[in-house]
Amino acid sequence: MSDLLSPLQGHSEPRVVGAGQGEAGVVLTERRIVSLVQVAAWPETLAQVEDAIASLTHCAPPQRATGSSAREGTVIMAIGPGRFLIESTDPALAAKLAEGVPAPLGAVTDLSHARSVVRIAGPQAAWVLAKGLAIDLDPARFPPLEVAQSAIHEVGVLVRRVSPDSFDLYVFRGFALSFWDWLTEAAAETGYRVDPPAKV
Amino acid sequence: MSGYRLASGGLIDRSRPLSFTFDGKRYQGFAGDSLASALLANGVELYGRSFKYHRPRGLFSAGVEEPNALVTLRSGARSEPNCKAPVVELFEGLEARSQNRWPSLGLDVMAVNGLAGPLLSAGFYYKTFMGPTRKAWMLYEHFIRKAAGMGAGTLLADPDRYEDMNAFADVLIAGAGPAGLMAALAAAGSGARVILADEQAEMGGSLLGSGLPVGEVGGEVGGDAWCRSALAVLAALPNVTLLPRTTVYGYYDDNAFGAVERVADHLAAPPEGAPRQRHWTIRAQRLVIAAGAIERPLVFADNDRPGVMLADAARVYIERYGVAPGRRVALFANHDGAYRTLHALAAADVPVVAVIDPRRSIGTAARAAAEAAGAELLTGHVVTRALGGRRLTGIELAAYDPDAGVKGPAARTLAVDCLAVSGGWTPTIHLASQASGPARWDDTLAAFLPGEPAQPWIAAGACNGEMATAACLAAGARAGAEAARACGFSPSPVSIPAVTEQLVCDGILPLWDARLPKGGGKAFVDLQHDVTASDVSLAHREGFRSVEHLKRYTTLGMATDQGKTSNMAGLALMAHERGLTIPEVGTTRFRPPYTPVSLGALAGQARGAHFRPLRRTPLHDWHVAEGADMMEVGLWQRPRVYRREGESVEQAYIREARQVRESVGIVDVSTLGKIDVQGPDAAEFLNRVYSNGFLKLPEGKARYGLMLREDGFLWDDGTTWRLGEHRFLMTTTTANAAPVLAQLEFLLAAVWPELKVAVTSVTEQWAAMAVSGPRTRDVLAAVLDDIDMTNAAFPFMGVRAGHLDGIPVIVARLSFSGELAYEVYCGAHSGEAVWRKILAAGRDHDIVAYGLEALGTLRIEKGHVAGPELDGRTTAEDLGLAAMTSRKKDYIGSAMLDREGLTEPKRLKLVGFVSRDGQPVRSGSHLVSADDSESPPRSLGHVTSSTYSPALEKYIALGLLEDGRERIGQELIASYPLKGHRVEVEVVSSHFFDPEGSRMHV
Repeated sequence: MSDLLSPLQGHSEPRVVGAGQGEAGVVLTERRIVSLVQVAAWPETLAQVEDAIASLTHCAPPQRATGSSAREGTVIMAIGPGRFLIESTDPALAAKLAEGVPAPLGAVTDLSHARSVVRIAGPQAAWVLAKGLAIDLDPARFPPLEVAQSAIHEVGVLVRRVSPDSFDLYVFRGFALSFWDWLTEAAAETGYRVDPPAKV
Repeated sequence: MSGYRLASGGLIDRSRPLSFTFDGKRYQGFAGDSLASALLANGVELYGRSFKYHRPRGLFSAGVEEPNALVTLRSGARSEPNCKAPVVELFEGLEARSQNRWPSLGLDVMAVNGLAGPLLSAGFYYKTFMGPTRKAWMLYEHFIRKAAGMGAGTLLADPDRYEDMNAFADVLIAGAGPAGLMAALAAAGSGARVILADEQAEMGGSLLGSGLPVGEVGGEVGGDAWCRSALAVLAALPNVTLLPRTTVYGYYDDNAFGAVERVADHLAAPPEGAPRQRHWTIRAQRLVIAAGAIERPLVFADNDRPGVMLADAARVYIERYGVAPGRRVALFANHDGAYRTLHALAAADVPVVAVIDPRRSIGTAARAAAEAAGAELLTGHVVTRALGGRRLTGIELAAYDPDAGVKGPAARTLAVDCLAVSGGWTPTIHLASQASGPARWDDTLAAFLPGEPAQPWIAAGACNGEMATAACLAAGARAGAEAARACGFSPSPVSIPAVTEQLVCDGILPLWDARLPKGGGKAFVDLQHDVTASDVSLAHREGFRSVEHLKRYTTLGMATDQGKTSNMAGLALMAHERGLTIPEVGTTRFRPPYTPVSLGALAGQARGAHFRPLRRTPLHDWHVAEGADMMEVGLWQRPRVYRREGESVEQAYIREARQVRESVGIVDVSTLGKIDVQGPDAAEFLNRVYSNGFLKLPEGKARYGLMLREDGFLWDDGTTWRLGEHRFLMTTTTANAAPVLAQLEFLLAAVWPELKVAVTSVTEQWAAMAVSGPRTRDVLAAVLDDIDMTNAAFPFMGVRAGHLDGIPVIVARLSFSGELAYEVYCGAHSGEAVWRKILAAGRDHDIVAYGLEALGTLRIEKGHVAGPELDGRTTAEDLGLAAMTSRKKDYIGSAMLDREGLTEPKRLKLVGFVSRDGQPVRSGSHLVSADDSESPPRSLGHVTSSTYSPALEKYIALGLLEDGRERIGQELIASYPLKGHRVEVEVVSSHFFDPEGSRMHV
C-alpha cells in the first residue's frame, strides 16, 4: 500500500495555524478513502439493488433523495435518482458489489482513487464553509446525514454533514490541493488545526 | 467654517485620544470620531477640490451622501482614493490626503478652470471632440485625463485579503435605525432567522447621539439608551445576525442581495488571517428596507463655499461627535424639521445668527426653537448667495414670494462662518428602486417614495416617507411582523416605545432655485460632478429634456455618490424649464451599488493562485520535481517540455520526440476524459453516439471513434475500450471531457430513456501514461507481471488487464505517435509508483519522459488530428475521416451529414505543409498564393498546427486548404501579417511520416 500517493501528501500534515493562544476554530483532517464505489440501479431494479447493497454492506441505503446512511465503516450517500455513492473501509467492496449487482440490475463503478475527502469540524466549520458554499447550512435545513452536491471556488464538491459541527467534503482528486489551499486560506481567520490523515 | 470641539457631549471617548495626519499635518481626535468630525473639531475648513472647476470644498454632510470631502486614505499599496471623510472611522495613525489639487490644497493651479467655466459646461466633451474637431481629442487627451478624475489608485498589489460569505435568512433588514431595529425585534421574536445590516459601525441610525426621549430604559430616556437595550436583546438571540459596517448595496433576482462588510477598514491593517472586506451574498425570503432618508441642499449662488453644510449634519456633528460646526451659524430651510438643528446649536451654546425661511408662516414649535436659539427669524426670505472664497464669510439674503419667486436685489448681508441648509428630505429608495415599478411622487414631502414592489420587500420608516421617529418605530414593528408572517411565522405584538413629539419635515415649501434672477456665481445642483443650475437650463435649451438625457448630457447624478443630494433639484429644475410637475418629468432608476464597492470585495479569494482552481494530474509532483515547464490546458496543469540546462523549448521537444522514435518515451495522458459506460444497452448506446460502428467491437479490444454534433460537424474523438460484455471505457479529448459526459447524460435522460446504460466520469480514477517507441515492448514486458506482450497475444488495439509489479493496471495497445505504443492505466494514487517503475525498467533502453510539445510533434508527423483541427467548423470528410461516418446506421449527426453546406466541394480540406526555406510555420498563418498580384491576397485556408519534425528534419505543419487534396505539390505562402512573417511552403499529404503505419504494427 506504500505505493499509494495522496494528492494532499506533504500538505495535510498536522499543524496549528492562526489560532494564537486560543482554540482553533476548525479542525481539518484528510480522510483517506479505502473504498468508494458508485452503484446505479435501473428504474425497475432499484429495490433489488438496495437489497443487494444492504446485504453486502449491512447498511440500508438512505431513502431521502439528498440523504445518507451510515453504519460501522460504511456510509451510503444518495447522489441522484437510483444512484448511491458508498464509502467503506472494506478494500474489496468494489469487487463484492460488482458481483452482487450484475449488469441486469445496475452498474458498479469504482471511484476509490477518484476523490479526496477533507473533514472540517469545529464550532466555526459552518462559518468557514459558508465562505465558498452557497447552500443553507442551518442545522434545521441541512441536518446531520444530509448530502448536497455543490461547488466551492468553482470546484465541484459533495458535502455530507457528519454531525452538527462537522462535514465531509468530497472533491475530484485533481482539484484536491487547489481546494485544500482555498480551504486553509478561508480558515485562517478563525485559526485551524490539521490533524494527521486518517483512514476513517 | 470654524469648527471646534465642544467641552462635552457626543458618543466619542474623550479618554482615548487618537492621532492622525491630513496632508501630512498631525491632528488629534478621539475614539468614536469620524475623520470628518475629527478634522472639523480641529478647525479644518478645506477638504478637497471639486471635480471640474477645482473649487475649494468643505465638509457638506455626515454620511455616505458626502459629495465634497473625498480623501485618499493610507499610503503605498493600501492607498485608497475617494474615501468619504464622514464615514471613515478614525484610527490611530490614520493617514489621509486631499485630492484633485496641485501643488497643494490651498493653492490649486487647476482652479483656473473655474474662470474658464463656460467652456466646461454641459456637453463640453461632445461638442469639442465629436464631428470635425474629433481629432483634437488625440491632442488634448493626455492633459484632459490628467486634469479629470478624483484621486488616483495605486498600481501596487493590494496586500490584504478579501473573501465571500453566503448567508440565508427569512428576513433581511437593511438599515438599523429606529425602523430597522424595531423590525428586527418584531421579526426575531417570532423565531424567524433575521439578518440586520447597517452601514455604520454603531447601529441606531438617527437615534445615535440623539437626546430625543425614546421609551424608558433603567431610568434613562434617550434614544441612545433605547438603542443599546434593543441591540442587547437582538445580540442575545441565536436567530439574529447583526452585521454592522455592512452595506446592502444591491437587490438581485429571487431576493438575493449583495452586501459588503467592512471588516477591517476601521483599522490600519487587518488582523492576521482576517479579511479587509467581506462580500456577503444574502438570500432572504423577505427584505425590510429601513434605509432612512437623505437631506437635500438648496440651490443658490456659490452654494458650495466651505462652511455650507446640510442642517441635520450640523446637528449630528454636535450631538454625536461633540463638535460645533462653526462660531456664527445661520439656518436656511424650507420646512420645520430642520429647526431640530437649532435645539442642538442652542444646547451647545453655538451662536445662531439668523434663520432664513422662504415660507411666510412656520410651525409654532419651529418658531419657539428659533427664539430659544436667540436667532433672528427671517421668514419670507431666501439666501441668494454665499460669500467668501476658501471659507464662508457671509450670506446675501433677498425677499421671497412663493408665487413670484426671489425678489431682487439682495436685501442684506449677514456675516456667518457656517450656513446650515435644508431643502427637505429625500427618502432613500435606492434598494426599492432596483426591484420595483416607477417611484411614487409624494406632495407632502416633495419627494419620491418607493414604487410597487416587483420582488417581496417592505419599506418602513423614513425611506417610505414616515419621517417622525415615532412613525418609524411603528412602521418598523409592522414591517418586521409582516415579513415574519410572510415567511410562515406567527409574530406576537411588540411594545413600541413612547417618543416625545418632535419637529418633523412638515409644512415643506418646495424651493428649488433661490438664485437672484440676474445674479452671477455658480449655483451647484450636483456638488460632486460640478453640475450647475445653468447646466440644466443649457441641456433643456439644447433639447436634452428627458431626465435620462439630462442625466447623461450633464452627468448630473452620475458621480460615485449617485446623486444622493442632487437628483431632486435636478429633476425640479428641468420640470420648471419644461413647465411640468416633477412627477410628470419622472425620475431615473437607481442601479446597484448603493455606495461604491471595491473590486477586491467582488474578487474575494479568487485572486493570484486562486484566480481559478488548478487541476493536477497524479504525476504532477514528479513533473515539477523534474523541472518540467508546466502549462495550463483548461484548468489542468500539464508538462510542456522537460528542459535540460541550456536547452530552449524547441531544442527540448525535438530531443524528446527524436528519442521516442529512436528508443522509447513516456508521456502523462491522465487529462484525457474517461467515461465509464455500463449496462445491458451500452454497446447499442455507443453505436448511436459514435459515427462508426461499435456493436461488434469484441471484448478486450479498443476502437477509435468519432462523435459528431447534431448538425453533422465533427465534435470529438477518442478510443473506447470494451472491458466486458456490458462495460466500456470511453476516452475523450481533454477539452471535451465534461461536455461529452453532459451530452451522454442528456441523451440517456431525455432522448433514449429506455436504454439501460449508466455513464460516470472516471477521469480522476485513472492515472494514464502512454509509452511509445521501438523498445516499448521490452520495457513493459520487464515490469508487467501477467500480460503476454507478444504481438500475437496482444495485437494492435488490444486491451488487457493485469498487474505491473503487483499494481493492478489496464494496458491498451494504441498509438498516437505512430510508434509501437501502449497506454497504461492504473489507479490514480498508484500513478507515480507505476510511472517510476516504468522509467526504472526503461533506463537501460534510453527511456525519456516527454511533454505536450513532443506529443504534438509526433502526432503532427503522423497527420493525426487534435483540438486545432477539431475546431467545430470541420467535418469528418474535411479531415480525411469520411470512411468513419457510417452510411448503414443512424447516429447523432447522421441526419445532417448530407446537407449542402457540408458537401460543398470548396470546403477546406486537411493537408500537410513543409517549409521550403527552413523557417518555422506559424499556427494561424493564412495560406495565400505565391503569385503576388492580389493585394491583399485572398486567403485559401489557414495553418492549424505546426512543429519542427525531427523525423523529416524540416518545419512542417497541418492546415485546412481550399481544394487541398488537389493542390498537393503546389507552392504557397504561409502569411502572418501581424508579425510580418511569410514562409514558402509546399503542400503535401498530411501523413508525413510512415504513412503505411509499419512502425506500430511490429
